[in-house]
Amino acid sequence: MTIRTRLGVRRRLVFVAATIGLALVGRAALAGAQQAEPTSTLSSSPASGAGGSSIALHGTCRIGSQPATAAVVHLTSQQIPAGSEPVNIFVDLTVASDGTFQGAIGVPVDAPAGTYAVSLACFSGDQEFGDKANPFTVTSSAAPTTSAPSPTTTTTVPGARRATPRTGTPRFAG
Amino acid sequence: VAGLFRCAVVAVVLVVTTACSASAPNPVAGPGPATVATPTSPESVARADSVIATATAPRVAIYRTPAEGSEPDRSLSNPTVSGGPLVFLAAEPPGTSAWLHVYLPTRPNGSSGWVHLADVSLSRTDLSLHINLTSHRLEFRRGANVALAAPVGVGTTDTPTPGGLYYITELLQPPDPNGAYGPFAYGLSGFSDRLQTFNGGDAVIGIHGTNQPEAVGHDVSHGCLRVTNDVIRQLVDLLPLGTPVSIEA
Repeated sequence: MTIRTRLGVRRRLVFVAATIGLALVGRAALAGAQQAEPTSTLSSSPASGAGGSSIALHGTCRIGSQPATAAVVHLTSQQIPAGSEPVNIFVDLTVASDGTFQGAIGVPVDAPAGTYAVSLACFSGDQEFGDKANPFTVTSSAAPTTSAPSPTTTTTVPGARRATPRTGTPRFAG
Repeated sequence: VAGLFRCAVVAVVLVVTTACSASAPNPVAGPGPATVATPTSPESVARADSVIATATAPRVAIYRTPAEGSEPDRSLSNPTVSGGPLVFLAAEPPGTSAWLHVYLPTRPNGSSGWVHLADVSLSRTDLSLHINLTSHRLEFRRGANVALAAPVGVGTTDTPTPGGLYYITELLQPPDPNGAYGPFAYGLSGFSDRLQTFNGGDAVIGIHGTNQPEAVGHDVSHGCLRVTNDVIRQLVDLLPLGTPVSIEA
């Protein structure tokens, strides 16, 4: 075998090694990207209850293997009877290091009977992902409060109420 | 043969690059800079819920940075000069610190600053308004769902409605429901870019009814957003102060 032939074989071996190496790196990168898909689940029970009862919550919020920074669950009216204020309650739940959360949200004692939604929004910093929603039916108002599992709720912020108009002459850029 | 290997290497690199970019996770937005007059993005309003801060102190100090011991940049009175409660829209969800980053109802449009959580009470809403100036369309959304869509009159070429993210700061009921503002008028946290004053006010952008319903859907105003009286009445039954309003230019 000549020196020239040996150099040619060596060059081919380098190319083969580079090709295999890049393919492995690519496969690892693809696997990493797939792991980074956002996932979320929400379980709420029971599916119906009276005003004053609690809805137990648990689920997951994660991007790949990384837990979300927050999970916000929202109970809101789907039908608003005339003369009633819409029910609009939010609960911030702490997301554990494995991406799971659990807690509870209380149904207001005066919540009118009807259809509601229990919805989830996951947050990673200011980025929202993984919206989920389950229906909930309020059967009647003013039922006794039932016990709920120990929640890991950190903050409960009430829903904002509609603005009350003040009489006055607008000076806006009409 | 060496050329074929080179082609194979290039192909592998291309496949890997393309596949990674197609499967890359969404970038995670970090907290914005803690400065007054931070530019805002209409996309940031597309959240399932927004945090509203209502002042509980007679004056609320505004800080450029959330640093203990720093001097406030300014302070805003509560009630406001027009007599209503002082409200803010949170620019970021509240964290575990004693500070909240909020958008300000002051010039220049898009201003933000930091307030002490002790000076405000928090509430939340999943309601929002989205206005597209080109299509003259207003959408009222509950979460991501469009609950109402209606035509809207917007600013003229000389006095355009400024695009950006704003929020509702006040709700007025004019003495004459058949007047130019209709039965109700919302004031926003934004101001005309062309006018410094208007009709004795600060050229605040408003959303209101009208006594000229035929002008709704056209470029007719000094910057305000005009909807029919029926639409403004529907909104008044629902929207809290602090509701985010995204205006897409």
